[in-house]
Amino acid sequence: MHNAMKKTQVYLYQDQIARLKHLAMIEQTSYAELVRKAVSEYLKTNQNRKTERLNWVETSQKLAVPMGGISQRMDEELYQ
Amino acid sequence: MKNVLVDSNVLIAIYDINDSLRHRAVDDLSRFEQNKVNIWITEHILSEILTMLSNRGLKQQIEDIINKIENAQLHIYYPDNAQTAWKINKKVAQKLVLQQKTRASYTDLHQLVLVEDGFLTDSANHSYDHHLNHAD
Repeated sequence: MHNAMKKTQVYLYQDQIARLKHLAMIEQTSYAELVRKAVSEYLKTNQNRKTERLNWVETSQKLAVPMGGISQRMDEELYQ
Repeated sequence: MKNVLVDSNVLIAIYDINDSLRHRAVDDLSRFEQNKVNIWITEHILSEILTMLSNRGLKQQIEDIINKIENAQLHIYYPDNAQTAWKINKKVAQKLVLQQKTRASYTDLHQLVLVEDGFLTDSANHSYDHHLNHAD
């Protein structure tokens, strides 16, 4: 199920445009429909991409390591 | 307040088991998240964090920062256009020239300008650095 469509503009390479138009002609569909299909397939492929979401407590519990208490000495390390 | 601009020292503290401000940082960030306050950083802050972590070879922590940005737990402030970016840079440069007592970094003063001049709307700074509290 899709939402209402909204116009957007993107730049494509000339060869991509030519190939899409050729495919649209063969498949008897529109150039825009092919672009929408390509975007849908990309989103479907990437929807399960793993991005672990740790809250701030979990982050500190799992990832805190000995760094020597540097939060108050950052400018010294970075800029001096 | 809908937005908070957090300093690099707050985020570094959560990864440092030795840091006396670690628990405070975790509490502060958790509270912002619970209260639906958007947590922002700048590219300068990101640069500082990644430099500190990469200097220590902390790859997992770097990946976690990237995940937090991609998961929208952390937002990066980008000006709307080049004119706004230059307006901000100029204000920061003027502050750098005018500061007398403190020696705040460009990153610190950039944060001040974004919040005080309203480039990041409805926002406040959150830092454990005295420069952001007492900059001239």
